[in-house]
Amino acid sequence: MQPYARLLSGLGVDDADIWLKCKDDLARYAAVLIGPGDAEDVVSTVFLRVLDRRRLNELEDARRYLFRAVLNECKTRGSRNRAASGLVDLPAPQPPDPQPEILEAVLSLPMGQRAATFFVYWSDMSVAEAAEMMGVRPGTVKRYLHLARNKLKGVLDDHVNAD
Amino acid sequence: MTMSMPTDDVAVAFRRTYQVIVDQTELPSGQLPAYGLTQRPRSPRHGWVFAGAAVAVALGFVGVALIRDDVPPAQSEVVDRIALVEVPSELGGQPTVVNSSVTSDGFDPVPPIDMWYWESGEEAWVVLLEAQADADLTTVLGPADDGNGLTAPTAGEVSSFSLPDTGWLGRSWLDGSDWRIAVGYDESAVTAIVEAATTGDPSEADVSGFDLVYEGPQFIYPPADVELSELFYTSPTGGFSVALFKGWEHATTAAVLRSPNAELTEVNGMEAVITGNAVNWWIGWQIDDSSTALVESSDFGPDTLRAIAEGIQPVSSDDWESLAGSASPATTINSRPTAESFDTIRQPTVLASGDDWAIKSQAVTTPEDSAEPGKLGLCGWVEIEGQLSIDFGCSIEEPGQRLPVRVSTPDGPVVTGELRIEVAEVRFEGASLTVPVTQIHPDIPYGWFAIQLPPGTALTEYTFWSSEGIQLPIDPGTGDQLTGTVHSIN
Repeated sequence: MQPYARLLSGLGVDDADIWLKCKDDLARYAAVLIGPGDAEDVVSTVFLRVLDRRRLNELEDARRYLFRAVLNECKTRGSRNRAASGLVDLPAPQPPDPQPEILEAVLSLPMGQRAATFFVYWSDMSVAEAAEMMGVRPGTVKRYLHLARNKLKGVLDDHVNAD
Repeated sequence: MTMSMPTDDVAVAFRRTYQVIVDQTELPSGQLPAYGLTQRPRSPRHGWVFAGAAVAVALGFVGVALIRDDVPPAQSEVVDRIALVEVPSELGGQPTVVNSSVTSDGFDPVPPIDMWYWESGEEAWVVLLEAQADADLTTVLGPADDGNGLTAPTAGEVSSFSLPDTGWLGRSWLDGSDWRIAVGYDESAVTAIVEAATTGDPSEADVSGFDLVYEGPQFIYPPADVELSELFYTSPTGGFSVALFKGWEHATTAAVLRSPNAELTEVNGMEAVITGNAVNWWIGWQIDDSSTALVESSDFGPDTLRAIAEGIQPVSSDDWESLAGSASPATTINSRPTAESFDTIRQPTVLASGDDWAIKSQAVTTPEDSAEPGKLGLCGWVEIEGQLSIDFGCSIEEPGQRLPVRVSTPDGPVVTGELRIEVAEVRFEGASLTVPVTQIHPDIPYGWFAIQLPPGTALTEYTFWSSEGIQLPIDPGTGDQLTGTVHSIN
């Protein structure tokens, strides 16, 4: 039985194509922001919420719109998690690469800094492109990168010195 | 001896770390997700959430709610539609639905303002707002010291201000040309936030006793994916509207700043806020985990509004559609522009017109029996085939509060709005059009404009420039989503 028949039947070809093209990247992005465990749920929630109100192919830049929506959803969930338990869904450290303290340092970064470093260092985007995806000013991305780099650099320095 | 890591190693560390996370990610299947995911009840949050602001767009006002949603909780089920279910005796009989509307897509042409929100205990909180341009906060808060207690920031220093009606303390400063504002009840907390924001990342502010509970965009109006459903009622003793902003839970600090008379109250045990102005009263509350309910009336005072709000309940979509379908447009209570709620002092001015449509503005004064009688204001609306189509509402002694919006007419798109400037210039697709702003009343130093664009114009970019060189940026991404919506923060 096709469990998604209702949605599929009401979805235009263009929207389905957008979804298929974006879903993996959105899931990776959500995983970096909030953890692998919630990534798929975040992406599904965002996609359905957006689709409930509009056609994706009507958006000027559906991909950018969806990335922003994922960031907002993760921020909301992150705030709730933080307020509720002080914990965010973190993946278990996978030594030896990267070192657990490095993983912990990255995952302790505020979500904006994680988003900026994800786009620039993992997706190889420019600062301007990252700013577009996040819906913030390039200066904000630069600030996020500066703060994130400083924090990780300190951890890396400590790690090298310890060795 | 301390070794320093080469810069590239930092980037490599980020890349490796994210690769580990991505490798652990279970990627969604190629199939589309089921609807049921979004219906899953969410766990209640704890603590105060700065939530539930509402803009009753069609009627031109802003409401706010500072809602505590842990005790008692908002309803756990997702609310799809609401209606008046239990009729209070104050209405003098069964009210009738006389109009309805469902609006979505793009309430907000203003870029979201970045917000950080800390809370401590039940009522102590601190908020930091970062606007992307000085015009953003000016647009949403109104000019500094224009009754809102706000102090315009000056270059090179942090200005202090207070909001005597609320007891809030505030700081404002500039970061380049961008505005920064921090407000709250606790001076030491505000000081710590300012220190963090001016030297580093606000998220890492060390604010003793406070927890950061939200960081992210803060929309002054509901963001683009919010759906507004409204029922307009009339009863033997007066009219009112019941609105649901589905998917909009976060309040706007700006709205609070603009509503110093707002008071906390309760609706069915849920925290709510009630406030009013010379014309309207409204009460808003967060009715579920992500939506805001709002009741508004120009006929009833706070006690009756509170009684009406107590009778608001979630209803099925079918029931709501039945109510909406029973409306009689010929007797709609919003068939007249908001201007007629005031004392009109001049005939309406036609700003632009065409085949059976017109955009009009009119100068008004607040009624003698209002709390603040005799105040001048400007109103604007769109008529199609002689009927009210879009009501922009009225601004009373708050110049330039009607943001430029795009309106679809039978003759093509028209951009219209209220500006305290002499000239409006719209730039689009590499071209531009310039029109003067029409002064509606000699004692009101602002006016209305309407620019008719070539049919089929895709507004990929449009920007307003004042004669003083002030830019009013409009989010290009929402250019096609403004049709039929009203932007007012009266």
